[in-house]
Amino acid sequence: MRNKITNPLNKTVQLSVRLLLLASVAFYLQSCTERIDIKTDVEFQKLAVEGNITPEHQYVKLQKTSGYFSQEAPPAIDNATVSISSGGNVYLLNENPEEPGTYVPDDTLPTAPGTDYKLTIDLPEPVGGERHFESETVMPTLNVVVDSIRVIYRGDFEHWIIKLYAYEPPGPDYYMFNALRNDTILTDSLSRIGITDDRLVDGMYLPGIYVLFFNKDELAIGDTVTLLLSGISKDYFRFLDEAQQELQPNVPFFSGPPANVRSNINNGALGYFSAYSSIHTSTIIDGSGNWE
Amino acid sequence: MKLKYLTTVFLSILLLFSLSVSAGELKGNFTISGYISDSTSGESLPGATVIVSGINKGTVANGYGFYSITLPAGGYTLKYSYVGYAGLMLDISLNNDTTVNIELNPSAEKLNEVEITGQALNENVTSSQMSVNTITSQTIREIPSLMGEVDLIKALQLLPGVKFVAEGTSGFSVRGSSPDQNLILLDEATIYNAGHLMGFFSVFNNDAVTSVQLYKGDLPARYGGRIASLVDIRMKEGNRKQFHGQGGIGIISSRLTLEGPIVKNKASFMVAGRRTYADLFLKLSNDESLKNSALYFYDLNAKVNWDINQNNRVFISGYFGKDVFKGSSQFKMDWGNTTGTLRWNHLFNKKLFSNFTFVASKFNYNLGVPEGNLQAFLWQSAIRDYNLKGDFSWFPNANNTITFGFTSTYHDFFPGIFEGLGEEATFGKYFIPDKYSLESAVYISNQQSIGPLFTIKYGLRVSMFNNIGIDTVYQYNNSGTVVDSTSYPSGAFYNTYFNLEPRIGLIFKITETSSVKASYSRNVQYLQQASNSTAGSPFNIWFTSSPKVKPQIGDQIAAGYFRNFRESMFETSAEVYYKFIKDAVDFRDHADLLLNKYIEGEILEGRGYGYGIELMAKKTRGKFTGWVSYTWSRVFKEIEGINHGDPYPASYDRPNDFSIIVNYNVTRTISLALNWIYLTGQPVTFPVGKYKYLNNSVPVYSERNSYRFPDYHRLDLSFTWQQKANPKKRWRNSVNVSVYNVYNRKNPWMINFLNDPDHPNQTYAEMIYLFGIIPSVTYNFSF
Repeated sequence: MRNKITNPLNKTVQLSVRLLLLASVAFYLQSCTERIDIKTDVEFQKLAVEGNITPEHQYVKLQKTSGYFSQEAPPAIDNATVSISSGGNVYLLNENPEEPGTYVPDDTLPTAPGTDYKLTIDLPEPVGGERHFESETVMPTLNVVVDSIRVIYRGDFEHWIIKLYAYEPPGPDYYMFNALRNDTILTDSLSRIGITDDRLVDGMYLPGIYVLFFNKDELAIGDTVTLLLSGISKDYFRFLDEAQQELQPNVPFFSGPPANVRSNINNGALGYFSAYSSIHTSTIIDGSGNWE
Repeated sequence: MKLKYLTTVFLSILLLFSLSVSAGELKGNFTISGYISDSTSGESLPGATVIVSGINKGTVANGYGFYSITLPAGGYTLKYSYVGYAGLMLDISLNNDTTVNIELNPSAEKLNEVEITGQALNENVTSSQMSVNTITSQTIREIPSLMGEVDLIKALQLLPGVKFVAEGTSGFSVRGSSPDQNLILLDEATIYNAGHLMGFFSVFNNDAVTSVQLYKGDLPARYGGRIASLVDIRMKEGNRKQFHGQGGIGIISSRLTLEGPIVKNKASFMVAGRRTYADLFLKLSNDESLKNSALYFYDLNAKVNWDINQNNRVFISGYFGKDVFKGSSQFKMDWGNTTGTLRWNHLFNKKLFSNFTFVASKFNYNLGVPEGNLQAFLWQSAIRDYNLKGDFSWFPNANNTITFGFTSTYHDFFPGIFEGLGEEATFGKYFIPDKYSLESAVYISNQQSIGPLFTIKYGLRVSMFNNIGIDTVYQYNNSGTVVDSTSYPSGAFYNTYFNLEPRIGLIFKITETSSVKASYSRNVQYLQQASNSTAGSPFNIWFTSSPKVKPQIGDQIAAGYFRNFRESMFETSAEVYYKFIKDAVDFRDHADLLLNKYIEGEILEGRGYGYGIELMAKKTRGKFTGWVSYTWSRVFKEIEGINHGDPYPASYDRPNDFSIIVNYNVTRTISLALNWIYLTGQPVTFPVGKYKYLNNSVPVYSERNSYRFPDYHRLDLSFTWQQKANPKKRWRNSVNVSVYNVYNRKNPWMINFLNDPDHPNQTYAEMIYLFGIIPSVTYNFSF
């Protein structure tokens, strides 16, 4: 059975419980897996949006959902009219000719905390019976003070771990973690991103909590590792959490019934339009003090 | 006020009862009363019948084997009988109140048909209770087992209307309800988690149990608090005549039970223990982390009873069980139930029997990484109950049996604490304070014979539930976010619910061997489990009704036809039912149910309804015994916020359910057993579409539960050899060989939809199945 370890804190706890219970069940029972064929309805199409506004990247991707067992990627939507209004200005987004379905602004949008963004999408053809879609999001304030990070290798887990030392401010906060290895993104997909709330660490000094995990061969001595700590909204956190749950295998002991992931786009569209900023902290794996 | 109104209602009903009864009170009547017990062990025989020949009157021994019948002076022949026992006739000339204690002989060999055919019982036909099944520990022992572990909950799952919730687990659904709607009582103590090892084995050691009774929805007025069923498990009292032992060695556990008199015929004890040792094999592993792991459970049942005199008896019983898991030195968890029951039977007079019970019980779990390790933490949660009750049986005359009483339980639910350990703790503390509540009820019920053909049973239970401070109650908006809160001081009764729970039943005896029954019952449930998973884990907490969460109210109507053939050798029944649940509890999509202070924000309430037909034919004696049952049923939920508010099949909606259970006594020493079960596949939600988000394919789902797993079916076989009984040698050996899932059916436990790691745009379905063919051997002995 495949499992991943990505999310820190309370998710780590839940995951370790799951892993260990599964392991315990596994020695007892000869649980087996097998790929099977299932037919599900495909007469179903909706707009799905992946939109992000950060100081570094600003884009909106549009696609149509595809049948679950379709071998093709969900088709991109070309020739849409996409704009974002913020601070009284309207910014037009143009389709990137290199990447069909991806729309980017000509001028960089302002990214101060508290900035409000209104997304408007008009499609050339209706999808799921609608042509016009809207969404709104706000850039959250990020008050955490990062002291430093460390990268360690744990032989018992056979994983590299990024440890975070920081002051976590009082009050509910939601975080997302990404990492770069020498400027290349390591957390290159949704399932690899770390997210957490501060339920178990609210207002504390974080004395080296585990925030991201990487396989043995993903990092090496001499690498510069950069942690991107982002402050995200509660709703975006729930979106990411729900989406990650739906990507993981279900376990009857713990998993609730599968359910659709929330969305902040109207008219039945799926996906999310989010805004956030990040703190970048780097360290070099120099071979000293990287083992625990 | 409401309370005053209810009191008036209750008192008027009480008055009506005494009027209907006093009509039968005549001068010159005398009472025959006493206890009915097993002649070899002295164990009482609840449910044994007493019939007065010729005048068509009779009574049934209560839960402690006590009976009482009042008749005009004169000469009578009384017939005492009980399933599996030789009947006994007694001539009596009644001219004053008489105590008659009766001992019945177990029919020595169940192969000997002649012995018992004389005592046709038809208890299932004449009993005023419907939707009830009884299984003895003997029957349970004969059913093929999983890994050699005889399991009473798995035996219950073979009855009509009862289904497992996930393969191999001890969670079960009765008439489509969720597992937390079953009240499981072990010697009157509530068992909140009936599973060992993630539920693969039940916490009940069959050797310590005499019998199990399952009431499907139509609960006696004496019981309440759950809307689907009552599972009443009684521990053995202990042999009052001679010392005995039994035990067994299986592939995963060993058992030993000892019982015997403390003072012959006056006091006895029973003690039973069980421990698994599968983890001992881990020590043989080459893998260091497995070698240092531990995984086991144990449980202990003990009971002592003492007859102080003819009018007073005392029983003390307890259960203690625990599961322990240690993964190397870094992770530890354990959970278990502890219960203690003290009971006092007191006879006020020959017609009024009483029992007072005090129960203390606890379920708790601990998990964490011990101090000294990185990321050390401790997570704890517990449920504590203290219950006091008084139950009275009054036998005013041969036509009426009145039961009445009270019960009150103080609940202390501690949802949990999580705290980082050590000087450099990586985690802070997250604490959810205890929730206190009081659940009480008074009840009265009469079983009344009207002429030779009709018996009616009518009763009322008045239940009350109080939330008690200290507490902070949160108010939520429609999306489940906290908008306000109110605090209450320690000891404040800040919220109260009252409910009237009528229970009515009617039997019409068509002939001696056939009857028609109908019943209506209402049950109210104030406690539920915070779980939306299909299998349930020990870490699910329970939560109570509150100002926000309304109690669930279940109404059930049922009707049935009961018919026995060939002197009760064949018992058949057909029942139909319809049930409706008001304020059924469910949870938001992606509910956050673990360690959440604001768990009430995740709760949604709506309605549920179900209906079905249950057919059963049972052969009670002969070389072949067993039963065949078929159930067709449906169950739906309709909850605002789930499935766009449209009705959807509940997770336990499995329309067709067929089981066949056969035991064949080949010779006096060899028997074979078989069971085959077939169930419609579990309803599930499958993805119909997908979209890309950050390079992964996120599934888009169908309507809730609009697809099904493939149908479930499985055949199990077992072979038992038992050494011949030899009067000179008490020690008897027996060996059982069981094969689970004989034809190795791959029944899905789970179907997952996953991103293909090698092909970024592709997704696939993967089935997980747990049990292939599993043979096992168990050696048993008795002395």
